[in-house]
Amino acid sequence: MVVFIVLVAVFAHWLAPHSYTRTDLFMSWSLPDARYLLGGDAVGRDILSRLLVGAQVSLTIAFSVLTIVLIVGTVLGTIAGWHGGWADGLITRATDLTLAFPELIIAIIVAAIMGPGVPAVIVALSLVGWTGIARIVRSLTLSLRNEAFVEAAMAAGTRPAAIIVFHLLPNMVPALVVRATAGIGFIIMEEATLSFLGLGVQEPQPTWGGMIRDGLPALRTEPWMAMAASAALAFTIVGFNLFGDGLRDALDPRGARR
Amino acid sequence: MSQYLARRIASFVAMIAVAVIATFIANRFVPGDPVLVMLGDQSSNLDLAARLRADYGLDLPLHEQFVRYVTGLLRGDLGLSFRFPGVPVGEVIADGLRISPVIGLAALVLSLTLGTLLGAIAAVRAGSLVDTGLMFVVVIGLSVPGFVVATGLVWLLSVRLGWLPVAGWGTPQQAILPIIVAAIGPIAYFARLTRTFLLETLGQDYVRTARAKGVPERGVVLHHALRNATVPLLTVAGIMMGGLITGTIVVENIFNIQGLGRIAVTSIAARDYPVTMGIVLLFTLFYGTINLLVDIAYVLVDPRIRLAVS
Amino acid sequence: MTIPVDLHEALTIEDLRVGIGRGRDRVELLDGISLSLRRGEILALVGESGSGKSMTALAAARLLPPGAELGARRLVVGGADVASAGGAALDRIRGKSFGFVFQEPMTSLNPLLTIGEQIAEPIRLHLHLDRAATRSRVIDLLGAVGFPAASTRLDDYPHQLSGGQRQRAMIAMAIACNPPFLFADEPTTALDVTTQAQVLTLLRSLCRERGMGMLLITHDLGVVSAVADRVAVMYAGRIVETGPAAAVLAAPHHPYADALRRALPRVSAKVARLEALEGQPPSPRAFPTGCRFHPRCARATARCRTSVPALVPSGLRTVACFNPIAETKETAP
Repeated sequence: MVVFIVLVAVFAHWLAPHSYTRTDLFMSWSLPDARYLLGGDAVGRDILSRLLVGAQVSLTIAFSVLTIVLIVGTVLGTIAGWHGGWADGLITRATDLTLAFPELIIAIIVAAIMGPGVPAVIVALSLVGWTGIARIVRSLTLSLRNEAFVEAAMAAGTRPAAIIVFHLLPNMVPALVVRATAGIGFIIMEEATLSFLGLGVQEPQPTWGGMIRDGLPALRTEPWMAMAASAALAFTIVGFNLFGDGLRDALDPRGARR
Repeated sequence: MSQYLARRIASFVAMIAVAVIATFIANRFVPGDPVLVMLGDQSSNLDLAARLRADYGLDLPLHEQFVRYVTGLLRGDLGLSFRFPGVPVGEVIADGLRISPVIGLAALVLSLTLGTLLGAIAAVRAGSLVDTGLMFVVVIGLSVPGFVVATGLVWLLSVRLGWLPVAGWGTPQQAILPIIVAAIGPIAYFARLTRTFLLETLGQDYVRTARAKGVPERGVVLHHALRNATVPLLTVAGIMMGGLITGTIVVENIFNIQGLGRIAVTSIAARDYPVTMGIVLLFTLFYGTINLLVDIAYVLVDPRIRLAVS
Repeated sequence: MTIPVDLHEALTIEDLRVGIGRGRDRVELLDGISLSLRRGEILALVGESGSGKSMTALAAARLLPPGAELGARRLVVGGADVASAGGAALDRIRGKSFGFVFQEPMTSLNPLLTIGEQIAEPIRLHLHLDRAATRSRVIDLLGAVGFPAASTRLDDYPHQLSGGQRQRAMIAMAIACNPPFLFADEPTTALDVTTQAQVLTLLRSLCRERGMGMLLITHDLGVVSAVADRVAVMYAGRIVETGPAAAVLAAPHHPYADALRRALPRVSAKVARLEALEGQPPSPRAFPTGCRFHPRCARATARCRTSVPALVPSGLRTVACFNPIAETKETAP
């Protein structure tokens, strides 16, 4: 499932039978036919093409957020765990405080300040997501720094930076991979929610959340678009969640369940 | 115990302070001059511009604006709307204030009761077909966003079967679907955790002790296991409120209900920052208060915390 | 046919079997356990961990975890037929016909309920006393198990008590309905040495005063000699020797019982070195054929590998061994 989704996303433009922006008012809310396999939307754009490109948009956002979150979370988590003291206190406070807000409220503040759009989505979701990674990395750092091989490296006079890069980080990879995969489904879901509310991806870029929103008023007569986008979204999220679960069971690292 | 509560109250205050500062920044550092937006085609009317600037306090130095903002908040004054010049935010959101809490609290009650019930059934019947079926539905409910489920439900119940209205607010029929949709995610979340925690407590030694005393199965589950599972469940009940707020905002937008969530979203589009931030503050205050109450309830339920630190 | 009921009978277990899994994965954890006890009598069930001591008690109390299958020719505990009872009938037996004292008083008491509430629960369920009568009975019970100022400790939570007090509360709970029989599964293992002695003395006097039979599970032979009338030695899911506690401890007939005794430190003995038992007890997945002790037994012969020795009476004892340690040892001065 995941491979299929990623392939679709990568080759979306090549797979799409039509331009996702070209409007054709004769095709407005057209039924599925040979030309538009899934019919047309309100302004006569091909729903299938928009669906495919929507996959690309969703995954691009998801992987951007994931990259930011992994980098920020790992750096801050390592500092908190390794340095301890005031740095730890500050970072732990910051995570607790971030977690004290509902995600959507953070997203609304960000969308309000930056104006709705892809950058706002990425910033908002990163702001929410780094805390989870930072917590895991912090606890892993704390437990790893007491391991014999780390103490041995310290005794041998290895610089802390080198110990972190060569000894700590490789040991965190399984836990982080599992956590990150589990996070993709969540990020896609959040992005879709924001786009659904009109706070996320803006026209003319296609997005599943936006397509569902636009399809809702026409649900009575033309349910195609909302249904197709809902199905694509559900398929993708469930796919990534199952993939994450499988990976967790296969690697089963400590702390990944949190 | 007092130390524990003091820490909780301190973090509550910190959370509100952060929200106040963040909303102030959002209100004041947004791109564009709100006064020009408000003036519209009267942009050459300098008298009106000056008056608006004074009304909104935009002519004051920043720190005075902040003091004015905070003192206003303490009086319950959320400022004036940009979209409707001169109208207090409180008035703009007044209708929403009558709607959103109804949806939110109804969904809360629904998710707590139904979530606990389904989770308990699954735990007691762990491994059975009922359990597997329930958990499958729960995973779907957790991974599929509320508006996707809503789309399906609206199509089926309203469009196809014509049982319930498609949108709007006011009649009980109009309330059913929004409340259910807002509760789906939290129900699934709570059911799964109830199952997990209940299975954990059912495996505890004291549950075996209860059985050895001749406590009937119902009493074992309710009096011993569920009661003890309440402690960890309480901690997640607070987190669940976040999902409930999201759910309320989403359903208001699906069903075109003029609640706080709908107003917040339209206000963002209209660049009406004071209204958006006022709603953000209200949600934050609500969420923080619920979590503080949960922390207090936590102390009351668990004698180990109640007595250990006192 | 009516089964003759001995009024003094406190526990009768005949041919108790417990297994888990099906087909190829089938594992027999208990293989034909038979035990009997009279009221007022204390039987110690000893053996290494994993020998099935606790499993025997849990099975007889019908407290096995789901998935474990139980079979028995006869299972009468405290005068009640436990084998055929189920559901509500079983709930009426547990707590009334027998009590159960568990090993870990910390985790076996509900942390969210006061000890008063927990001791009152069986009284409320089985004796249907009113609130005031229940309360005074709880206070009496706490007094009987040696709680100082019992009436003031009623509203304490388990975490406010010491380990010994918790175990006393657990005992009060187990004997709350004056059952004719008590299971005590390593009741002193989690306690410190001085408290151990007090709790054992308490259990012993409670049995004597109330005419209560007790199955005392322990791996500590010192405990056996201090309180038990009779002893049954278990190895790998079977009973290998039973008999009067003093006689068995002084001169075991079964090589395993002998090995257990040699592993026990003794102040009086002149032996400088303790003999450790060679090897590990077998896992239920790989029980040896024949006598399950034969791979670790110095006296094992070819026959021990192929056939299972039955428990054969010899005087007051029963022994399951083809080559028991000679009787002469016992008669020697």
